Amino acid sequence: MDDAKILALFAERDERALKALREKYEPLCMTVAYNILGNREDAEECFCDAMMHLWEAIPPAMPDSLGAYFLTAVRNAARNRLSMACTQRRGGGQLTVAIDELSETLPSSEQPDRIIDSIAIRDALRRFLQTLSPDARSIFVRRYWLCLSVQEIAEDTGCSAARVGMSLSRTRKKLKAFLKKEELL
Amino acid sequence: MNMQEYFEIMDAVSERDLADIVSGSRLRHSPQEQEDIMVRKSHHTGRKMTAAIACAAVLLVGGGLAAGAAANWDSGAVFSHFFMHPSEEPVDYTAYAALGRDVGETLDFGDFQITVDSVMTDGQQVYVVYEYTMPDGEKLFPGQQLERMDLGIQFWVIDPNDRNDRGALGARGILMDEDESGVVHAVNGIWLEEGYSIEGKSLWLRCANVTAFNGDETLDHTYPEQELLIPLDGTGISVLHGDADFEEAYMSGTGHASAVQISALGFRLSFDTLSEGAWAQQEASDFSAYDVGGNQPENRTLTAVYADGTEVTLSGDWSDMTYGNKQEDGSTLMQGEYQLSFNRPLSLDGLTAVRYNGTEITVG
Repeated sequence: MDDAKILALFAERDERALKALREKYEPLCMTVAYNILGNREDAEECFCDAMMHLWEAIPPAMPDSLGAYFLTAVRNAARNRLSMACTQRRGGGQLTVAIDELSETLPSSEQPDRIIDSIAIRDALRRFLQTLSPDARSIFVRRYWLCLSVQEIAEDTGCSAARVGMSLSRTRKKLKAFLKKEELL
Repeated sequence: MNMQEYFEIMDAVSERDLADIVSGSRLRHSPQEQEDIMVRKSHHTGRKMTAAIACAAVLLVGGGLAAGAAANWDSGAVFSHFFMHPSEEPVDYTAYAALGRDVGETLDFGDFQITVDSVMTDGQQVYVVYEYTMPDGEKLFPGQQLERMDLGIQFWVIDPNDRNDRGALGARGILMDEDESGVVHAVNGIWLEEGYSIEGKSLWLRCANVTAFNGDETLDHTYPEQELLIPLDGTGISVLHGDADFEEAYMSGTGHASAVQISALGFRLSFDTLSEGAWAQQEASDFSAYDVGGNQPENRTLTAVYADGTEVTLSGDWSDMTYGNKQEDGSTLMQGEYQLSFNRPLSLDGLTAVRYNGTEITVG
């Protein structure tokens, strides 16, 4: 079912909207929740929380991209669940690996004399992402926003795992150079 | 960087990028569903599985293999991450091994054994047919809930008198599956540099560790390194060649197909030039060889045509490799190849042509 029809069902308060939403977006969204939380039950609860969030938000909200809107809701639910569990907890599975990978590229608050300015780095990252090719940006976002594993990205995009790994490695190097130029490193 | 900082920084990602990703996503199963499917295939149907293992253009190959002898040792789950593209057809390893020169040498680490059955080469790749046996992987990491496991094997082609003389571009897993007794069979290929002679050279196989992931951390089990040196003289197998001359889709661009090669093990379609739009052309030019892996188009067909009119549809795992060849004037000539590794050896007796996507090419 296309997004316009699903949104129409939401607008009509027809619960088939939830079934259609699950059928269409469950593989990707559950993968993201699972990779952030590292736990199937927690991921399922976040997925359901996000569906309820959409049920309450639409209407009046009418997102341009239902998929992106739902994916963001799932990720935010997973993020909040982690925050509630423990503010310093590093999450599970792929999230931990993703943070570790980027920690070598981004400024660290654990370094002496360094107070991390998340807002400045976020703005710089936003500009940096626009400099990347669509392929490289898509792979980077899948890895570090969606927390997909390299193998999952390969499956999701149809690229080889080697190509994904190479692209990520190259993008991290470019990002490091970009942040240095911006005097954020 | 803590988790909160990480999420704040990653808020830089735009909704537009997410929309593109969601609309283009090819994932069809959640992680748990995927695991359930793989375990079901491994343990309930008893069907063999094949994996094309993508590996970067380096010579380290992590081959995840296992045996299922112990009651609680669920190798199908632990190694399911390698079975992303399971083949419906079993792989005939016995026939594969019979093509090459017998080796029969074993590296015994106590907890597991690696036995090289045979080695062969078609002039462009060295193929290694080997088995791996791990009676109980849980003994290696007691008390751990293992999500996945990797075996670190390195394959090199070297001059035994000068181990720094290495003529290989990259290595990869080609075929792999687990039989009913829990022994894992695998074929790895090692790409040779163009024009590299294997005369007097040896295959160098090394292994010293097993790593596993329990969901939170990577666990490592290290052993004293063991190695095998296997002479490659006399391991050549028959190869047929043909000329091609047509344009073919290549990544997001096109390539000019100029030659084919077929052996009992596989088929290769070579591209002497790639268009400007071929994927990662600029990035690939930074490397002498780039991108080994699972480009798995659904619409490629290949048929072997014999003199007596017999035709055999060939199946297996497709892969691709892109080269950035530096020219004397400093420019980079982009070239590449598509390969199909057959699930079972092909007879070359009476083979006169191959038909690739409807284009018939004479070979000899």
